[in-house]
Amino acid sequence: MEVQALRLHFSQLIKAWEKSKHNTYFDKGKDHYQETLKYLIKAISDENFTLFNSAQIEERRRIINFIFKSLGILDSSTTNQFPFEIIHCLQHALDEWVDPSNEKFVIVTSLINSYDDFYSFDGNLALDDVAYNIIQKVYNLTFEYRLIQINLPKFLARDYFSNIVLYHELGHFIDFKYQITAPFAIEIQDKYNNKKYNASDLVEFQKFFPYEFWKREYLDVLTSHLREYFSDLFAAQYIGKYSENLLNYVSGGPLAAHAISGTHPSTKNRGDLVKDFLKNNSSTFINDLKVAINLTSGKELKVRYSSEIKNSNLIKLLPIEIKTGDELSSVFVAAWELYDTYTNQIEKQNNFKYPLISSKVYEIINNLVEKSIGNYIVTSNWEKSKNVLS
Amino acid sequence: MLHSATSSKPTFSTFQLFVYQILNGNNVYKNSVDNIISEAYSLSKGDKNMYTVNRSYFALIYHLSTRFTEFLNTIDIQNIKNEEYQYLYDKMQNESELIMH
Repeated sequence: MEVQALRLHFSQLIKAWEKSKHNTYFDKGKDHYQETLKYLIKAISDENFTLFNSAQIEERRRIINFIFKSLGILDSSTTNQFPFEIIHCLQHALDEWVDPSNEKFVIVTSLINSYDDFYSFDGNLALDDVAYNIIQKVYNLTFEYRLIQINLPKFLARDYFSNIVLYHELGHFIDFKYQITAPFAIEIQDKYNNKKYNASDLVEFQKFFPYEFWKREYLDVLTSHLREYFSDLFAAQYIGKYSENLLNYVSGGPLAAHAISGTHPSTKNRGDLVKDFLKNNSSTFINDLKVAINLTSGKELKVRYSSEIKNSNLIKLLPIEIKTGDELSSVFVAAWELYDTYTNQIEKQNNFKYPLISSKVYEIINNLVEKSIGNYIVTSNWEKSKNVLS
Repeated sequence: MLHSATSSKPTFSTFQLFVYQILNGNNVYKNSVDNIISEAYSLSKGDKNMYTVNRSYFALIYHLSTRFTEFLNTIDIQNIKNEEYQYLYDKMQNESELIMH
């Protein structure tokens, strides 16, 4: 029966693969990944399932699930569906945190039909070392690239106002990869219980963790809240306060600002922490977190967007000129600054006789952001190819 | 997720699968298992700390170092015996049953 169930599972995979194997992508990472899947599927198909014991069947079950999951997200990352401008920006941020010459990760998106599900990160494919371990040991196959799955609503695939929260989702990946907040939560409990915090530290920690955070039974809650705080700060490095502005709205506005759940801190506290970080306010919590980040990843938590990038071009209906990859996320900040405080600057600058309707303002700025990033991608690819040719 | 849950797959059950394979005479995962036990040993002894142990298996290593301290103190980390893998497997099996129920 077990063997027959495995045969059924593999037959289902073959059916899915028949469709997915023709996928085309615009980057070599995904092509390479798909090619490795092809070898893996071939290796499984060459095996005699009747010879397997229970443990070997379990290995194959996990590998087939891994392939199914890979296909599921590769299918929605094909050339014609992929929001490559925003992913290019995220990939640049990722490369700042994970050296691509050591480890190769490719960001893939899964487009979700629902609006309510909003954005999420799924690290199973990128960080599930055991799956890669099994594949390597059993089939001697190594995936040169790993996929980072980020889920976003299909309706917002090309929306550059909402998509800035993908920096928050990337933060979750960085946290899970380096295991930053899990040990930090334990450290906070240890420090509290060993009376290492002074009176003002205690006030600060009690504000951000308004429960008995020092007790073992609250470790999971504390860790979950730290994950969100870390990802908020990670995003703030690139997009300033704007992720938190959006969060305030989607989580229910001022009426829900103090609501806290087992997984998420209150939006009020999240916003306050981001403000403290951006204003460089004195904070033992942020300073200790910075140390934990540095110890685990060797990287520095710091403001990474440039205030030199202004929105004057957008007002003139021109794309922003981006000179380096480090300036990419600054375009989102500039666009949000304009939109957030919009007082008909575009109409005034361009001598329009009538005010633009709100949806038109959104469309114009959103398109200009896409164009700004698109221009940078074309220019930088041209520069790279020139270097190769010369 | 910005305002909902985020997923991260636990590695505990796979670790058990690896130990199970060793007990069945298949040593293909022995190095991986021994490395994880060795990291847990280093953490429990204080030779490494929470920020310096292997990041990929942090949760598992921390769990072993805190829940299996006595076991780690009794084994020879360079030469783990079959009955010790069996002990570890049984204890983890009991723990996962407790979690399931």
